[in-house]
Amino acid sequence: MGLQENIREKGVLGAVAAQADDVFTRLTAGIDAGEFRRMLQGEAPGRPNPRLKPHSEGFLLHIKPTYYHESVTRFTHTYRLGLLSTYLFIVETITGILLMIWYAPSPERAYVDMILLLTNIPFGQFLRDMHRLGAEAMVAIVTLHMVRCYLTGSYKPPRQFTWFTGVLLLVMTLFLSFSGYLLPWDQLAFWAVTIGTSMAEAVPPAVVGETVNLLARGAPDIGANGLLRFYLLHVLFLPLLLILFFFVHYYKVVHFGISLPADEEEVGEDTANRVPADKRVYYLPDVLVDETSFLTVMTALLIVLTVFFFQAPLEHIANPQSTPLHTVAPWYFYWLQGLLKIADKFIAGVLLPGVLLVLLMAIPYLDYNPSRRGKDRKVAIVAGIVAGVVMIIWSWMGTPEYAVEGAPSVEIVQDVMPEEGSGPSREIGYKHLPLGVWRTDEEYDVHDHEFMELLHEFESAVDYYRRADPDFNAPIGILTISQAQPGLKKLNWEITWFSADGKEGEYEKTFWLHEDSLYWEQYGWKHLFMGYVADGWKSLSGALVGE
Amino acid sequence: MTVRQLQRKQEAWGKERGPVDAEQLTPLRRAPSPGAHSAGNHAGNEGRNRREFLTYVWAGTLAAMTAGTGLAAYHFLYPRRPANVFGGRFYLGAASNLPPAGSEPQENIDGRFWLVNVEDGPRAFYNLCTHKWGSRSVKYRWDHERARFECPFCGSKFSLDGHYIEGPAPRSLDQFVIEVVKGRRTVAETMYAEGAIVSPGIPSPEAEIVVDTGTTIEGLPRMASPMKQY
Repeated sequence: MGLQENIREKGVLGAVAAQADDVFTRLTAGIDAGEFRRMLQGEAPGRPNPRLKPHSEGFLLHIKPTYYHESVTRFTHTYRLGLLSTYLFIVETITGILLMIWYAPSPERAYVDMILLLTNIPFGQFLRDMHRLGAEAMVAIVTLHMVRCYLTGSYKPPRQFTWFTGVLLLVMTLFLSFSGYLLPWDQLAFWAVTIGTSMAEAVPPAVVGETVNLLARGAPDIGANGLLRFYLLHVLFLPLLLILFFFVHYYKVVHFGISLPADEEEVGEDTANRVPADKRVYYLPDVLVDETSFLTVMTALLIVLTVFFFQAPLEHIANPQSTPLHTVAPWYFYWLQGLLKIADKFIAGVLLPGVLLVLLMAIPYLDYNPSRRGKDRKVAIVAGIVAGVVMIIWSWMGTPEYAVEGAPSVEIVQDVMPEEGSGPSREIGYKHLPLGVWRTDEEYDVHDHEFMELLHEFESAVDYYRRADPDFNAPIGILTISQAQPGLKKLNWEITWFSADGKEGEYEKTFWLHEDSLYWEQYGWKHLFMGYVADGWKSLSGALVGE
Repeated sequence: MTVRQLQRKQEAWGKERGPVDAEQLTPLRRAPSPGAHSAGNHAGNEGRNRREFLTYVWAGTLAAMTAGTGLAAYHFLYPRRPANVFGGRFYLGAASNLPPAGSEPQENIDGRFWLVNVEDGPRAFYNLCTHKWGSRSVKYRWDHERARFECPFCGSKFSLDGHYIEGPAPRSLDQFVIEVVKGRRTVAETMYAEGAIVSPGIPSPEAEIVVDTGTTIEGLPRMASPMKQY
């Protein structure tokens, strides 16, 4: 209808309203304002359902199913883990692009850029923390998603290939997370990636391993080329690959539908795509509102965790000449590090992970049991649990707890003032470290609660190793704090002991601590919020016992 | 309790009581209101119900959050002012390094300013002539013979302490703020007060001199210049 006729018929205001409604309908790809309001008011759609139009006419919704089976929309069936993984990928993309603005992938600038980001850019630390937390959460959520699908038997026909692409996505998530590790160019980054790439070196024959390693590092050692290569892997290649496989994966999910709870269909049957009319829950508006509100809550949770609890670690600048004590892989590769401690590099670093990966991908093709019901799948479920427990044990073996314990004296100093990270001394900070000589075999009464706690910790560490190690007798720990320069304190840790055959041993380690160093803000978990809780509890309990 | 939970309860109840006609169950979602569609393109129910209202509140909250995020992004993206790069602070060292009072000015090319030291203290003049040709402006230079600044393009002249003398320029030279820093504290800085731009005064020799090229004070209008010649 032409504009003039429209105005003649409806008046000016009426014509403008009709025009606005037309624009609205085009933007929503088929939902007019009246239908939109009826949707918000919770009214059922008419027949034929006008709310299916955005699925068929719009680009954004064409990939989403128009309706779900009521049973699979229950939160406890899927826990929305797949949705959450996808969402975390989006969060990572947004925070990642923002972080790229203040970052240049060169050894000269990378670490300086990190310091600038943390100290000089508004919301810089927040974004970095969120990017790191989101990455680790993504690894965890993708894994949980896999565990859920395993336990509900959702990989069984016809969804074998969906599972296969899902395992590929898990591997890409791990590599995506790991490739980001090098970018801050600190000790943590440098050594984790050095270890990671040298595992590739174990691929036989030697020529192949070396070539793979050279291609990854861009030089015999990680340097400017390696950093650039990992950066490009992290920001371009792996995300693009992941996006590609995401769409393959999700197309399969939509094509076969989300598998129903096992006891709602016959064994061997798949009725996910035959949803009776009275079981349909339409995407518009019910599932959309469910998903959006779930993601809003998750976003709020992510922000609260980032602001109050989580801090992305940043260690000293990368130093190829010095491997820090207790260097560890990222937590999701602890199991690999654990394996590497007990077996040969080729077996633990290449063969076993390779076999495990192939097995994981092949699960749907190996498991011939047609039933998805828990009571019919005792072997599969027990096997899954055993695999999980084995992973946890291997992971524990990956931590410094297992087989990396150094000499007692080294471990004691590492306890109170580690080479990397904060530890109790740096956490209490410059102000709480009074000048003087402090010995573990003497009693002090300093009017500084936090320093007394540190001394106590020092004493108990010395005492622990005295009892644990027969070669460590009558140990004395001496902490000498002196003023090296204005605003700079020197902390000299000295430990003397007698070995079993009466020989005297001595160990010394020196650190410096600057007035402006805020280690407890730069490393590890935030104490800010928990500090308030602890202080509140202390004063409350103090009041209760009448202090 | 959500509609769905109610429905599940009803189903469980139905199983106990034997088969129930599906028609008798409350539908998962409200059934189509009679003639909902035939009523044509009317704008939903008259007035708002609670569900619709809450959706608007919820959407508004999300919009506010997004706007907040946008504001944070603005701050995040805004350029920093690194030291010793134009737009940032220039650290010139101790005041004893300043040229002697009344001596020739020194040009700082990177900082785009002329540093002069006159009787009442140091000043830093932005090295562009205040006579702008469109949005462009040209660098003036120091004329050694006549001991004054001269613009090679428009012919405006300015004295050593930046006052307008003659020419088409509308005002005296623009100045950057000079900060006198002792320890970590700024003890004095160039500021605009009572119709004059006041220098930070004569600094003690050990004080640090910092020129902030991010903060410009416009020169006084030429009418107010004590040196103007007609």
